Amino acid sequence: MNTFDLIRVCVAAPLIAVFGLASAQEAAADDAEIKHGEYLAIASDCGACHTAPGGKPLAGGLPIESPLGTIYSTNITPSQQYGIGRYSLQQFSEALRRGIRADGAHLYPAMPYASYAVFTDEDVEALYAYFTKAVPAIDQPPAKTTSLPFPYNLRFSMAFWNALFLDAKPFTPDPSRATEWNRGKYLVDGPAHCGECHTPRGFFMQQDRSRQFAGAVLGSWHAPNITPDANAGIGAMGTDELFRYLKFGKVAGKAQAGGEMGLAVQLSFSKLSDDDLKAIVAYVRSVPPIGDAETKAKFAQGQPFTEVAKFRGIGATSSSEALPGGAAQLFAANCASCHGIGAGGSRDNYFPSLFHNSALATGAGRNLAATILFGIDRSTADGLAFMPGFGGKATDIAAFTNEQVVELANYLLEHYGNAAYSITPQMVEQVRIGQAPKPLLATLVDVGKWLACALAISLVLWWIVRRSSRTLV
Amino acid sequence: MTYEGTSATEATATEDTTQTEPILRRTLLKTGATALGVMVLGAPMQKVVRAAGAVETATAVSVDKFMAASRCLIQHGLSPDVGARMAGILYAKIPTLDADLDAIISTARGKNSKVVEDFFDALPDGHVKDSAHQIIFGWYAGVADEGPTAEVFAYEEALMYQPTKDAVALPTYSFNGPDHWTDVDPPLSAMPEF
Amino acid sequence: MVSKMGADVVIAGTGIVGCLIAEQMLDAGLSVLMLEAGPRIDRGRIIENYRNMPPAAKAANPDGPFPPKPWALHPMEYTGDPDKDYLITSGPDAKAYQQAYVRYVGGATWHWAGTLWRLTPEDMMLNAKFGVGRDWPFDYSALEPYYTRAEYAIGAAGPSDPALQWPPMRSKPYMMEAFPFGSGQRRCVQAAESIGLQYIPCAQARNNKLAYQGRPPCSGNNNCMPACPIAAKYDAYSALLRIEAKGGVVVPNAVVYRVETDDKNNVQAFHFYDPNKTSTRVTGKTFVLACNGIETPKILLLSKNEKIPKGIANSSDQVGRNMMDTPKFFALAKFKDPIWSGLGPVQTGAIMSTSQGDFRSRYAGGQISLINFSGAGSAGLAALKQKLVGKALDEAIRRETACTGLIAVEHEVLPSAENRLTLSDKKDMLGLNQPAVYYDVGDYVRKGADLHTFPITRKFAEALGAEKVIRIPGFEASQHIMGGTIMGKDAKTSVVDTDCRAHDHPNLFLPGGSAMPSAGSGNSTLTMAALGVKAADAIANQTTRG
Repeated sequence: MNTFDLIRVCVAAPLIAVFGLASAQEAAADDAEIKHGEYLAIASDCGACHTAPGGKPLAGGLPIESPLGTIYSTNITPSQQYGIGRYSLQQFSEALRRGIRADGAHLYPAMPYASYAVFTDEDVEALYAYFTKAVPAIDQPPAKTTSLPFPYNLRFSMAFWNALFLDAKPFTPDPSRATEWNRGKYLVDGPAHCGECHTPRGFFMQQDRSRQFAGAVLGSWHAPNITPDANAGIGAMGTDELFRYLKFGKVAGKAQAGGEMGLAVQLSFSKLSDDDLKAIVAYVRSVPPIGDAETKAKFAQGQPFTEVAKFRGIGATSSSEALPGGAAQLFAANCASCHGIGAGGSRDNYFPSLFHNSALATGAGRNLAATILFGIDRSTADGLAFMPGFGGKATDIAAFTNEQVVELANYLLEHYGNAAYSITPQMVEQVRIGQAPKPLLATLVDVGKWLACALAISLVLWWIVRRSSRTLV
Repeated sequence: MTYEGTSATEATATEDTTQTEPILRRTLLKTGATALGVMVLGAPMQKVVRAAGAVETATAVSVDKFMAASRCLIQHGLSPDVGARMAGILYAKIPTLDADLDAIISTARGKNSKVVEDFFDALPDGHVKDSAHQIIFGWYAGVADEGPTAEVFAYEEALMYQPTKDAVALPTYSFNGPDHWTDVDPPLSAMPEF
Repeated sequence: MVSKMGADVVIAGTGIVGCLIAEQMLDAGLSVLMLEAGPRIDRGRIIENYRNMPPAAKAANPDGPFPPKPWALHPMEYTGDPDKDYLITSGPDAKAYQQAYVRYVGGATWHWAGTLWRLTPEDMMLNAKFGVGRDWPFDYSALEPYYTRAEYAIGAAGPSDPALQWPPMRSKPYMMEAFPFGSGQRRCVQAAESIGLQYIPCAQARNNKLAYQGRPPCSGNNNCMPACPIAAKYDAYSALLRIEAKGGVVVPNAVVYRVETDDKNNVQAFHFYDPNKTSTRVTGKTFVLACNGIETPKILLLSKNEKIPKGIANSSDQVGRNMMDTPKFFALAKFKDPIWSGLGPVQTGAIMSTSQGDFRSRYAGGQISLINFSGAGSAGLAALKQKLVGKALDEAIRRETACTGLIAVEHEVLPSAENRLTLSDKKDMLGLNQPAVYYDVGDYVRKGADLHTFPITRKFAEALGAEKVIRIPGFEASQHIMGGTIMGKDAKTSVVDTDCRAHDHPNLFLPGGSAMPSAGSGNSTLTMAALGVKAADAIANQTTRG
């Protein structure tokens, strides 16, 4: 090596060291941002909608049964052709917080941009970093794309909706409140978007903020009242219990997460930090309580009961299908192995008690019907919580008819739950196909469409008659 | 008791086994009956039920008396529903049952008994003692006899599965979740409450 | 097109073999029609049947929860009276062939224990290695892929440590970890070790901590036999909804009584009766009899006519011969300290190495297992019999339950032409002959029990802390029905080829236990299932081509 080389090395080496260090620091900052973005993506539960069952992560294709038609989630991997690979940060932010795609079209609010609107710029950048740099690109289109019937396919109409109902402001903390409360409000309003399910909707299907968290029906399941009301809400659940509900999906002798909430616990809540969970709890327990006619806490209903002596041994053994003991024996035959003959559950509460269980005392019994049909499948740090379905799908262990579900559910409600509830075969059928009661808006739109058609036809006929009568004359 | 969860029947059992007064004076506790949802094969709840299949000397079935005698013989929670069914079967099977029940109760009372061991040996041999064994057999086994075609009136509530319920699941009724049995190894002395 | 009249593949029998084949055919795009002699009864009814049985009947009549339909009888409690029993057994070990199987949709996997032993390489080469019995026409390595596919098709929980596997020759791991032992079974591990043997976990067709195929994980209902109340244990019934969702058609109460062949010895049709004895003729391209090891040979023999006087597939005269099982004796053991049988699944571990060794040229090997049924019922009855009352009664029940153990020892029997299923003169309500079996376990087994397995069993029990060990005399059936349509290369001495295809009829398959040329000492279901998967490959190939 000659002197010039030596000089080059002496100059270059420190520069490389400095820049190298800077890049290492940059890389570390990048990594941190990506990890933060990943955490936010989990908190926002993107995968719950954007990953189809058995599909590739975040590649879309999951059908969401909205009251206005089926909406299919999109591919949000960084695929250039089929995903968001070409999105700039600005475009990503617009989609996330204002519901506008890169091509300018509006998204339906099934994508909860109305909630994600509160994301801070910093969090949006972190999410962008995660999605564009860490998520594997899946170069496949989703199996199906959304095509709602007229007039809902007019996406530009969402502009009017947004003008009325979208509060597109990033979150600013309330200085009069504790840090934990503010963090909780941010998480609840934004990433966890609790209101999207738990807040009832107004005429235009916007969240009715005056009844925040008072409960709503979504497809097969009822998202219950999570205000602090002592009877209709979760006021009877303690802070620690609510924390454990979010982290593990169940509170012995009170409640467990099923359906979409079970999935939300498994994919999202159970993976948040303890501090974030506590913040969510602190905020949720601070919103205004909203009650209803209930005078008893939904966690405290029912009691242990059995009438097995009424039918034990009656009919001895038989190869006929019919059980002589009616609903009580239907329960014994299909449910009691796990839930106990007196419905007290197992001693370790792995199998929950059916009395003192809000699933049998909320939402008119809808969630009970849904649980019987679909079972429970929820994994957290506690392990797998599993109940098979009885609805007759290929993976279920029995094929109950709607009438059998009604018979069993009403028996359970009478003895172990809210005895005022009574479900019908129509409700069971709705639950089976995931159909929520039709909102008034949709009914009016349908009526309007028919009227418009009828009017158009009448006009055409009138015009034809006029023309032909003119000709005659 | 035989099924999981706290229940009024367990309250019944506890009240039955508190030894503050002779067994005799306790009456059929309506709360226990209500908690179990009394229903006897479609018949309205009565204290006296006609014996099923009664022949020449039809004896009125006294469920109250049957339960009282049962409580002398067994110091565990007894389901009135099971008792009603068993009473119907045994009254039809044992012509002397009503008198035997009286004898059991009066022997227990005569000895101021708190537990069955206090008076059982004093029961007269013959049909009284046979009936006493039959009643104990019925409550424990959930059937009236050992034959393969005996009428079953209890399985979940049959007492013979109770002394080991801390360790061994009643077949078809696991008492805990997956893999729970790995930590189960109680000593013989740890007799469960029931 | 599937109709009651036919499909690409027509399968008689809706047990594990029939259902594995059916699902594989449907996945291959073929149409499937399944015929089941018995009814379709749901799980809840069967469980309530069990709970409704008197305790004494549960031991005497283990299939009591499955009362048969009169047109599809299966064995119930044996009386020994040929006028009362469906299956009529005779011979020095008549009792050891008093089999139990279930003619309901779902078949005998309703009541099986779920134990998944594989054969070992030596189990498949008895003649070459020990000069007894028959060799399989292929070796373990040819069967191994089918074992694996069968395990994955039903969900198997087994040890990941090769030292605990039987045999430790696996191309893929078990998809679920082996079940943990309860306290008594853990003592078996120590006891076996102390006498130089190994008590290993049974691989089981039972979900362990996973919801495989949408079925819940086992939570220890201890009712595997006669039926799992929650379908944690695989039973073929749990595959029905899936089979139907894929387009399979299942016809219950359809008693196949005749296999119809043409001049070229192709099967043209199955004929079945409904409960009113109305006959239906069912056509197809390929036909499968998967009716378990008694009904399959019975149907073949029933199908005899002037052209085929010995019955279908029987030019070798081997149909119905070579009936095998794993003859079992029980040893009752009384312990000073609790052994607590009944914790978890009913069979969780065994000593298997006692089934292997050079002694097999002289006598049988066997499997030794502390079986894991709850003893509370029989303990209760025993204590009541002693006329105990009060605390003494409760303590006796607790002690008897906790301190009694039952050791089951199952042996390998050799195929013998004399151990034979024939059509008895007794006929059922449809006029079909009831089956009869003559059975002699042979000196091979008797010597094995006396000289080999019982002495080890006694040592094992004593090492476990038994105060008393009583061998119950005689041999009992284990419900592992094998041999009646035996497999081999030579059509003169065997009924089916290496794909369980009948030598005589190129489109008739007879997969299952009846095809096995050797029994081994382990429960046979996994081998039956593997043969079913192997046959399914051949059926799919030739049906798609044809």
